[in-house]
Amino acid sequence: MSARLANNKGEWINRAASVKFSYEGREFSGFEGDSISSALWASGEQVLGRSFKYHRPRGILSLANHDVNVMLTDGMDTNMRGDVVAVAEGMALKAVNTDGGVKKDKSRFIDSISPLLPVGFYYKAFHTPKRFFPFWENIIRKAAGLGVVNFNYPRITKPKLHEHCDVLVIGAGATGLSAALEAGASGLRVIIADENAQAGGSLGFDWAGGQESSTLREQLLARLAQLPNVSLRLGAYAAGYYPDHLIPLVSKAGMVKVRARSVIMASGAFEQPPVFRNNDIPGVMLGSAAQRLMHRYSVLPFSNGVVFTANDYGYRVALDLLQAGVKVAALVDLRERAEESALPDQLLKRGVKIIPASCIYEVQANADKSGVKSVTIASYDSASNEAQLHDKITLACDGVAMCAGWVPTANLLYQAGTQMRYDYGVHQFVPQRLPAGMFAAGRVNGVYELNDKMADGVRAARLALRHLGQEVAEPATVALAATAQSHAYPIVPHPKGKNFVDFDEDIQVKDFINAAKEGFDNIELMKRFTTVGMGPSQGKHSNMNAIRILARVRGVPVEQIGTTTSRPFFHPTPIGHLAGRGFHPHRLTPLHDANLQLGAVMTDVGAWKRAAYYQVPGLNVAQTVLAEVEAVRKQAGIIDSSSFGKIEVHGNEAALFLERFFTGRYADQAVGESRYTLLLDEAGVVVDDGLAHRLDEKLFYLSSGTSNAAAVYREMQRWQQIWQLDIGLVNVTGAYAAINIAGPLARQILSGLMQGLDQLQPGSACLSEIAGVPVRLLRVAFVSDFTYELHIPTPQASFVWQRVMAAGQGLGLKPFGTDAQRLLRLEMGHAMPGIDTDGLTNPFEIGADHALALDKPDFIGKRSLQIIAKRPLKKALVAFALAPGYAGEIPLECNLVIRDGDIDGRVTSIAYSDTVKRVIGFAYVSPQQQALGTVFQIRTDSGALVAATVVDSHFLEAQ
Amino acid sequence: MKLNSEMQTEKLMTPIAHALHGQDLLWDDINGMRQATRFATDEIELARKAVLGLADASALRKFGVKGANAAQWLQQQGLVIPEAANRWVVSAAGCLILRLGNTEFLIEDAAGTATESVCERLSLAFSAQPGLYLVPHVEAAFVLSGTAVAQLFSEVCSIDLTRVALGGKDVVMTQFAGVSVVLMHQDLEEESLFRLWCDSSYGPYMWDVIAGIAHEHSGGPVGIGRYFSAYK
Amino acid sequence: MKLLTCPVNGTRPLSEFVFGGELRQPPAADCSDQVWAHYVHNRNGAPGLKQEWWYHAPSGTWFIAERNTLTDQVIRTYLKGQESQA
Repeated sequence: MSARLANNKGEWINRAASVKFSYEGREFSGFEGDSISSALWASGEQVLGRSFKYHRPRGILSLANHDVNVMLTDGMDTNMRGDVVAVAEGMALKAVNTDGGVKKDKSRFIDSISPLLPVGFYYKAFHTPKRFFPFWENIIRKAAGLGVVNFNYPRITKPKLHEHCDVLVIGAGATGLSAALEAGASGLRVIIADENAQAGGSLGFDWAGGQESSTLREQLLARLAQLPNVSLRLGAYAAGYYPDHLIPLVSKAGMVKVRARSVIMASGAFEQPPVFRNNDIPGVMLGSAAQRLMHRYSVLPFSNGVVFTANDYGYRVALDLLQAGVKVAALVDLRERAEESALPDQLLKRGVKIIPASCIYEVQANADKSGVKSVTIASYDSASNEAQLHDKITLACDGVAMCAGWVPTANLLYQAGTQMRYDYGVHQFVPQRLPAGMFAAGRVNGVYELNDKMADGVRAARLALRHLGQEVAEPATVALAATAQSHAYPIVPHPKGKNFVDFDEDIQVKDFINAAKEGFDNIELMKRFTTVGMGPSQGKHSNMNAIRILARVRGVPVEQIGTTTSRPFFHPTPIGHLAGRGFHPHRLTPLHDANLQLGAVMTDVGAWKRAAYYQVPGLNVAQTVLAEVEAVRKQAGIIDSSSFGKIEVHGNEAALFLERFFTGRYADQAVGESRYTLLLDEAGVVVDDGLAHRLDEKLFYLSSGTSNAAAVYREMQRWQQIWQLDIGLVNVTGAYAAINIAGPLARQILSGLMQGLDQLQPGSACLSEIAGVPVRLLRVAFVSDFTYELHIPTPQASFVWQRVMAAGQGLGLKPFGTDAQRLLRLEMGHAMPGIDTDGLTNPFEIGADHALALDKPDFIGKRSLQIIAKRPLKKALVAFALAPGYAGEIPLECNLVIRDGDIDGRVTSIAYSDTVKRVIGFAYVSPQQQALGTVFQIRTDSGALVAATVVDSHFLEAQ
Repeated sequence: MKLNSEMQTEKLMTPIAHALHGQDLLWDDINGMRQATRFATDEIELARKAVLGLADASALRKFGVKGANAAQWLQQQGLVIPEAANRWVVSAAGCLILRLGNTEFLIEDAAGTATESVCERLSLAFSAQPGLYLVPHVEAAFVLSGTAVAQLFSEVCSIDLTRVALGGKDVVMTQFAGVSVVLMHQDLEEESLFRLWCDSSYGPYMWDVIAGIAHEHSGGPVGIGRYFSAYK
Repeated sequence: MKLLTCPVNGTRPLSEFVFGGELRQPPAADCSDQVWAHYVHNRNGAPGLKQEWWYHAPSGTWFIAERNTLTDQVIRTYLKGQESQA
């Protein structure tokens, strides 16, 4: 039973290429270029889906992706939009949201109990008795979804591209094409995008029985093809507007982020449905949907239909229906008369019955509600907004084309901050104040007549060129449509309801009335209580009628109701497109390969990859780490510390800069000496710590932790801008690699490679070399009292590492990673900012008083410390140990310290130390508990209380 | 050809090394730096170069200074420097001089000038003084060429790098694939090339990103000798 | 995303920048504790024209942007100390 029409000029289908697919288990055939909906409709299939709430059978409504009547799954992908997804060979499709198939959906009974499910019913029912709520919630949640996600869906990434242009035109209908031609003539870079598979917009389907539009379309496209600086993007929708004219164009191939210097919105308008009982039966569709079916896909919308219109557009649709061979049983006009007489005259000449001042009161469906059987037409009194039933008639028909007007596709205009106003002549919102560089033309601007639209596109292009500084004369204004293109209130009440406003969410007229009665009479509250506009179409076919109803209920003009906020994306956008290729920048040390060869298991420290530990066959992670610690304590260990921050401060006032930046004293630091650095913020909070090595009178070489390095350098640069001292700052973090050799045998290992080790006291630095490679040699004491830190120019690091490893081989030198380093520094009693401090910790709380040179004229945080010092301490960081031989549940970092049933502090570091043979750590406790020997309680994850004793932080010396 | 498992004799190793680990490549010594110098046959490398070629130029010696007196000091050493911020010039001998912002300079030796290295000369002449500070430069350096370079840029960079926007002698400091880079365009040995520098720690990541995209366009890595005949 | 113009390097997307807070003058060193605490912990949230610190990460350039925090329009950007040349 084919509803396919004879060959149409400009049709989208390729009749030479047939496509076989299945729908709901039955085989169908269409053509290349068909959408899924058009192929099914051509085969006589009209039930293409089930509605969200009431599971009513649904067919085609807009055929333009302004509704989701037709949503399908192919088993892997879901919520595929049948109206705009091309049919492909071998597709096996099912409607979503059915229980047992689209024809025999078991949930269809919900339609008959709909009186029990008014809008917002789930807010009012089911919550008492409370214990049954989970039962009802489960049912409602299952019913509330649409498609089902297949978690085997493959990860498909589509690269994101950046593009730049001078003029971006959104919409390639008559208006957009005219704008692009005008802008393109200037030679500037123009991109014109359209979401449809082919360009031309309504020139491709709104014909009113003639061929002029189709011919014009071909001409415009031919002219466009002559301009090499104009790029036409089809199948690409403008997904949203982002500041400074950044607009992503999304297509199947991925996302192109276009940065335009000017934007012309020529996006047209969404056709709106009139509202009457059973306006959702398959076979009832928007007038433009019928035109799209006939002219894009050469498919009959129905064979004997009624046109119900509230504007002049229905007359154009009727002429197209006649031209395609469809019988038009009648044209019902909600108004007394059409705005212009030429179209009605043409229809009357063709013998079409025109019934003015009337409405479709209700549609009668056939037996299984799969199609239209007849319609009831009645007089309509616009003053009282009521159908007059005394003279109603019933006409047999198998379809309805309905027209009520338009809503501008202004989403991106709203997102860009455009101020719109409601024009009572055209009866739609139009732009009143556009942001700089943004222009609107055509129907989105309230301009409807074809020649006016093209002139409006030219006007917008000229304004854009002027905005870009081109020498172009000020263009003439183009008037908005002189007559109403939309009806002010195309709503037909009915006592039995099922007159749908929002087809996505099954919302009827009475739902709005009831919501307003309950006090949800503000557009934002109305939206959220009724859920109008919250479905997948996001209000494209429903928001305006909702506004009109609310305005009428409240008795106020439409523009006082306002609109809800428009947000990206214009159409649903795959997450794979948003992810793109997925760049994950990471930094490697020059010793990365050497580490891997030694069995390193890497971990992320900020952007860096560092070795966490080195795998040993037969040992688990904990054992491996303890073995690495033991090596450092008994022989020697080697660690790659290249990720540490390294900053050089040069110049006459280098020491002064340090004195102002850090808390300590540096003016009297000798060359070759290393001192501790503590950095606070202006509030006196601990930010970072490190070391300052004076390599020269005018050179301090600073080292700091990995995570803060970039931020510390940035802050140094900023303070230098303010202080303007005679210094130079150089960030050499990437220029130097760092290797630590730690343990009793460290010096012995290195003495074969370099000079001057014997003289190097703890806390000092000097310049040396290994095999001709310059080395900055530091003697530090972070993980062990016997630690030598070598700073080597990055390209030469692996050369030096190999020589040190070779020198250490016979003496048991072992590589160790960050896991062992954490434990080693803990054993040494070193608190670490960021681990043992948080965003509020001041230096008094961690016992860092010794690092504060409060007699300096000023340093960052000094003023705040003076204020804090006047107050009693609130908490204190203490070193603690659990009982020797403790074998119970070991507390974790962040476990709480409990005193008299109250929170008294928390654990910040904790680990079992095999060196000390006890579980040791740091914790915050109240000042009353900080004395050595105090026993306090730590509550573990399981709730048990564990006794901990405050000890001296020199854990190793206590042994 | 040297194997990776032997103890390294060259003192310097290219920052890209990890990205090339495990591949069957020809390694050699350029300016004392161990580098992969050949990735495929002549035919393949030439084809890659034409569409999207990528080479490791990290072995070219670099020198850097910054500070209020840096410009004057360089001129005193006999160098002609760019007058405006974010511009570059090339000396008669082919040495590149980039002015990064207002007061910082990156100098890179021309290929094959190890014996008359400008960077070596400047390094020896340098002595600390107010407003003049030494900046060590060990960046990963890349050369890019080919008809598809614009497509690579459109994937990794959000600013407009078409030839119109990246003028002849401009230096651009921006981000590629989330990493800060220094970028310029140069016509060298009759070829249209792009030069790129980034922190050496990001070298392997940047190489992988660019090489990955290059392969998708039928391009890919080539030996540095394809761009600098001194290293053929 | 938003564009911002570094006075030295030109117009770039916001992702190349780090925000550094409002440019504010600290009170005199001999101010009262209350005045100092107010400076450290409180910020004026009223919309208006603010001078803000911004950092161009690829080039390490700190500069000031004068921004209308209500309209998000950046009036001008300049290096600190070079306001008059902006």
